[in-house]
Amino acid sequence: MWFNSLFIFFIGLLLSSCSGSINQPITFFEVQTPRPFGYVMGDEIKQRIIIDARDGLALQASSMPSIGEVNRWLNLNMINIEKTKTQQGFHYQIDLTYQIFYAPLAVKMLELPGFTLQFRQFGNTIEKKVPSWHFTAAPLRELAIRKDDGKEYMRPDTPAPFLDNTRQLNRLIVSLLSALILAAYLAWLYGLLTFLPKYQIFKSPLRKLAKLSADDLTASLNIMHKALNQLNGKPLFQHQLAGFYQRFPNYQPLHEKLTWFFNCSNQHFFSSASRANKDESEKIKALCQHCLQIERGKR
Amino acid sequence: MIKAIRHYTVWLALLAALAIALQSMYSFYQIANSNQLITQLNQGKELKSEQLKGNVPEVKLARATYLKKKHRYKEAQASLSQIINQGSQKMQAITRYNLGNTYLTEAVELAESMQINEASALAALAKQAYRQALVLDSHYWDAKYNLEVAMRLLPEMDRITMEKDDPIPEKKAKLWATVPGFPRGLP
Repeated sequence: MWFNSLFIFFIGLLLSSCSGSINQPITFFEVQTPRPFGYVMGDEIKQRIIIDARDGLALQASSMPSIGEVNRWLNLNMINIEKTKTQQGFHYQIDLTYQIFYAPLAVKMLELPGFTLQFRQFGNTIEKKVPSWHFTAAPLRELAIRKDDGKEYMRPDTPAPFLDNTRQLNRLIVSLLSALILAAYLAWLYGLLTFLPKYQIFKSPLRKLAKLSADDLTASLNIMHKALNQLNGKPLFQHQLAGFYQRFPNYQPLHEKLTWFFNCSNQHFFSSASRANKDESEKIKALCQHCLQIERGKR
Repeated sequence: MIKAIRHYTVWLALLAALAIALQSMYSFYQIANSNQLITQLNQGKELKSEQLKGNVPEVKLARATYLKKKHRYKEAQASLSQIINQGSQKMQAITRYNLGNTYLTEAVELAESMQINEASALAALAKQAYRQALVLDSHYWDAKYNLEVAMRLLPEMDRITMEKDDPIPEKKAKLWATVPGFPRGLP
């Protein structure tokens, strides 16, 4: 019997200790401060407060110090509160940035004032005190410098900075290069880049055809065949025209004329009844002219 | 149809590229011109008023420095006040620091000629300008140094609070309960 009572007592004791830790409203509280010495006029001091609070416990923003002048020589420039959800509740990270404007005559101990943070849950307020923090500030200049000593009494004006034109220069270079590339592309589209080998295939044959007499049909046919073979990359025959158009679709509109040309060639070279005709030479010249226009993108 | 669209698209892109190139060239020329004016002012040469019109804050800042060198403090302060909120954060810090320098230099000159009241007012303005510069840039060492100079010239004192002292009782003024008038009735 007494053993049972003792067992129940221990269980009760264990549960009460556990419930106490679970009900702690703030499980972690830490104020992180920088080095407490070596500050001078205008320096910033960053203070960080880390808090782990249970779920539902809300930090009262009104309990935070307000931005602006804290006292004659201390400013609070920035407050940054980061609130993240954790398994147990919420994790708060409060960053405070102070700035000092104290001109001590010698090294002097100063104090960041403390304040009390308030949390609220179910109408109850829980307070947590952020203690005041001490640090030392030092002067920047000797006490006894006088204007007539010939030493530097005050720092001179900062000269006006020169304007940076790197961005404009980069933009100018990039836009001019783009314009150049686009102009070259347009020239290529309009066939103005006649120095390229692509535009040289029908140029020379047309010149040769112009010099030939109308009776020399054999030479005319040979020149035209040679030009078409060069364009095709291998000898081109009539039965290969469909494949040729697939590779060079721009020449598709010349289908009738090319068919006529191959028929004419077949008749001239392989038929016994062939005879030179002035019209045929002219037609071959016209075909070459059309091919030249296509290669220069004019058709 | 597709060929025509492609041609028009390339033409449009070419025109856009040329427009951007022209605009960049104009901006580049303007910046070069402003830098030339800053150099001219740094060398101690005055500008014509039309050269300053509509120009960037950096040129006005350079002119303020020029005016301060010529002891034309009021004009320098007016020029700096015009551009106090213009430009980048760094630029704004420089403007405030130079304004503080203008006030402080004038304050020192007035103090030397024993015009203490005017000097105190200007030193207070200088401190305010340096503090603002340091809020914008806490690593501005020249502003730190000169703020300390200004504070030595015009030290700041905490107000002494006398909590234990009894407050001075206010003398209660007697108020008329009624509007005074002529006494009525006679025996």
